[in-house]
Amino acid sequence: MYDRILAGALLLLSGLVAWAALSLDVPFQYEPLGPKAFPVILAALLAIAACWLMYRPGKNDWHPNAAVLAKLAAGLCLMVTYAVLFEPVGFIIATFVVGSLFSWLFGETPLRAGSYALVMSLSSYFLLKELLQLNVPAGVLIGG
Amino acid sequence: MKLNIAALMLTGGLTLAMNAMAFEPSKPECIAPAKPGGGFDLTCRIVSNGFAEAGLLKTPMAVTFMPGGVGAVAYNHINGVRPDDGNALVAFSSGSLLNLAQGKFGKDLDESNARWVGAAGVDYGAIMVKADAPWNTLAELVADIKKDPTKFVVGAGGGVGSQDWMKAAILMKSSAVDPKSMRYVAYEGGGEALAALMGGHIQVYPGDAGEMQGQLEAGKVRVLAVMSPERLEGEFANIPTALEQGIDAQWTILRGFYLGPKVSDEAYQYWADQFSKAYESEAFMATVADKGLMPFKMQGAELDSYVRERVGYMRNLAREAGLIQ
Amino acid sequence: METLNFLATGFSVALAPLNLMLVLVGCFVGTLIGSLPGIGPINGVAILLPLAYAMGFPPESALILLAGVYYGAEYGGRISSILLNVPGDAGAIMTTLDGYPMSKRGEGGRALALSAVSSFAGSMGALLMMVVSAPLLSQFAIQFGPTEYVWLMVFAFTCLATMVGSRPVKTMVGVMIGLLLATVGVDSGTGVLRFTLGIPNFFDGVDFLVVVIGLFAISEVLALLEQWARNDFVITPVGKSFVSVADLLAVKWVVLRSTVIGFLIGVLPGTGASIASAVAYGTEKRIAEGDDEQFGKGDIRGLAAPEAANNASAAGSMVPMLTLGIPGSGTTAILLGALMMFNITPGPLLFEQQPEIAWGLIASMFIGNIALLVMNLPMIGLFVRLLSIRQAYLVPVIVMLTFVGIYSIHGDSFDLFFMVVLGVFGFLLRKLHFSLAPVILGLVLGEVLEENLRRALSISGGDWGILFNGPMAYTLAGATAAALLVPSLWRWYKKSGPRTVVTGAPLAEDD
Repeated sequence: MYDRILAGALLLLSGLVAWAALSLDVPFQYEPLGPKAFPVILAALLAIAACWLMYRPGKNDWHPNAAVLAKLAAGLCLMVTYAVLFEPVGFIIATFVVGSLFSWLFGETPLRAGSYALVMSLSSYFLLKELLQLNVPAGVLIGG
Repeated sequence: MKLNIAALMLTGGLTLAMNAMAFEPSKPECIAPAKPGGGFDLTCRIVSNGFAEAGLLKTPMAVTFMPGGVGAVAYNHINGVRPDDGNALVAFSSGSLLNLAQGKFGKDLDESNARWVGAAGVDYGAIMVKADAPWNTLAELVADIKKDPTKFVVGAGGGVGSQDWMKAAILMKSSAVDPKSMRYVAYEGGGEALAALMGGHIQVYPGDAGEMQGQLEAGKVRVLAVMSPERLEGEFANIPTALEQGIDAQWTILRGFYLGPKVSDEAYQYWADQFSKAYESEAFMATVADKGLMPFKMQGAELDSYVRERVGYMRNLAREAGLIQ
Repeated sequence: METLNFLATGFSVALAPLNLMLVLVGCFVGTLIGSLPGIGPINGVAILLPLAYAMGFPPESALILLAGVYYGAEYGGRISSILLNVPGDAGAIMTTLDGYPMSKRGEGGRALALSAVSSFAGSMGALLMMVVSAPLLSQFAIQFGPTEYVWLMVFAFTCLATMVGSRPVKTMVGVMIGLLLATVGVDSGTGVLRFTLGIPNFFDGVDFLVVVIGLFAISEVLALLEQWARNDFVITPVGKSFVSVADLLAVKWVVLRSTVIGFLIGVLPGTGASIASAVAYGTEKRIAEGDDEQFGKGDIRGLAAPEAANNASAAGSMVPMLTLGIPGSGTTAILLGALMMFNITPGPLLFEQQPEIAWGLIASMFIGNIALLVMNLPMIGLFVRLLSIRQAYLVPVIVMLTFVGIYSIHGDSFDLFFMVVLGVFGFLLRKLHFSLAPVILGLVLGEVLEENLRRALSISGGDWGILFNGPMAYTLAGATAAALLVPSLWRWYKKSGPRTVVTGAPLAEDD
């Protein structure tokens, strides 16, 4: 069932790709193939594969229940929150908040999850920023 | 990034206080608009090492990297975030100018959105063929191309509209062949194109003289002409220019630096003076030569107008070739 | 004989106390950097390059340090592939296929040790081949034109489609999605923007790391959440499993073949560890035909093949860099930049004019490999302990590292959102028994395929006949046809016997 839905989506995608490629505005062309042909070929092959998948879908064995969906949604929300907070609020606070919630989501008690996340965010900040010289946003804590 | 900007604001405040006297960069920086190890990195090393060796810097100059679009990202960054930062030199090349001329740096940005301050050096185009190719002079090659342009495959390290392509198009145009009839193959960088030339997949490679330094002796490639106004020195002294062979095909690859468009006149003058001092220093010129460039001494207002003129010329070329409307 | 003399000179350079220390430091730092998901050899070399320059080391020492980092990071990348199912770089994608199932089975130590030994053997074999045949190989490499590249890519994808995952059609879909992702961004031929949806972050294309980390790491976190919700965590037994002599004997031919394949593919400019490991994996599965049920479920052959091949290709990619000045991979491109920074022009004359640099570098690779093996085998027990860390502590670290790694590429939050979106997509694909490796390979190789196809047709002036021209093209085309036909013929031949049961996609093992 899910295979068929995906195949339908892929068919739609291949149509969109082909349409977008063909309607590309190429101001000049000095080569025989140009930027359109390759995506169109790919779209055609993808469409063929999608049709085959639609015709003979695989058996589905994924049956998520409410608990699973709830946990997945929670995890997804956390990751999106992390992405939202990461730059404006900064690494340390964002990691502390999201890290402790993740730890809690995986069954740790709130207090221990919080203290673990605090230690993790502080130590890894200095490790990544100072030692590896990675581009880690400092955010509101340091340097406004 | 936040931290950097904060630090800059702080140092900016300090420089403001000192500006009462003459400009002195508190935290000199060279922005290389590429990944480490690329051409722009080498350009930045010329000022950071060359100025240091010539004794022109009180504080060491840091090199930072800002890759993206042959300098487009850095150009937008300077214009958007720190247009008045007198500490940051940004490296550019004719490749960046060519993209600027074609509007690839953004619709609202052109050559007036920077203060062109100093040149690092130049390189020149060079027309190359395989060592065992049948042509010994550019004239022979051009004569053959004229017979049937579609039989020749020209390949180089950039797409249509890049410097390498321009070199090929100029060669075609000056030999009265329509550039559109040329078979052109774009490779990722000069190294791949050189390999394709040696492998016989392409016949002509319009590359740079500088990249052939040290390779001429190996004798795998024959340089038919350099695209410079006059003969070059050193190991290239024996190679005639295209002009000598009756074909007016020139291409100068300029490498240099610009400052943000709103940088104060004091800061601009300070850097221009540093460059003119550097050109007098043997240590600096040795650094330039080490990085495979030939001397080109131009700074300040003179360079600024030169760059503007070059961009205008390139814009015309691009228009003729149908690259822009 | 002359070569041996040069090599001896090289060893005297590499064994100088400073250089020996640097290669060890490089390997150690490299392993650490490589073992962090999302932070790979390119980051390692790029971070240390300015540092090495600033410290004022002589060129050969700086280069030796960087080569050590390169090797160390290549090795470190395997650790997260095997233990966490998160490939550290393109070369480690195929390693997840059999390495991760092994560690889920409690054989993490065995898998890590086997991959260390295979990597070591692959590197050493490739280095020997390099010493013996570098000049000859550089000739082979330049003979390889656009047509041959097109066929090599097609061959690799055909191998993949018929050999990885539950159903060829699903692998095909994965490859197509990857290839389409590769077309996003500015088209290098014309400067036209393709499929960017008007988002500036896509102008330079879709970043490889964002896709890898999104598809693998983020979807893995979601998969862990699902397991937690279903309460069916299998507590992974952290046994003291280690590689046995019997294991090594069982894979000796696998390693040898994969080393040769990996080295030859590595020598070609523009093709790197990713395609080498994919072709080696495919070849071994084909050779094991009839006895290949365990591939994708933790077969030691399926782990040894890509590991030997990707390390062999790392050594192979040094050949065109040193002999022709043409980098064979992203990292060697940075090494090439480093060479130029020290005023060394790689090319035909490097071996003649600056033998201490060329041979010193080669000798240091030998030493670096030995150092890595010696350093890593005892540390395996430590790494495996990672698995005994409770999810409540491990998952936050994985999430944190992936976010930092991705953010540090461009310093833009957009990549973080895109990564999460890809993670959800990857999770759904896994649930539908799609293998994710083909998507990544499609993305990595898409540009190479399209560019070479367009180059070939530019050369011929639009005549597709150029694709059927020359002995090398025929050979590769023939191999492609064989890869397509042999499986069906084999099944037809064995029709009387029990049919080979092809089972679930390796990455969907956990439901």
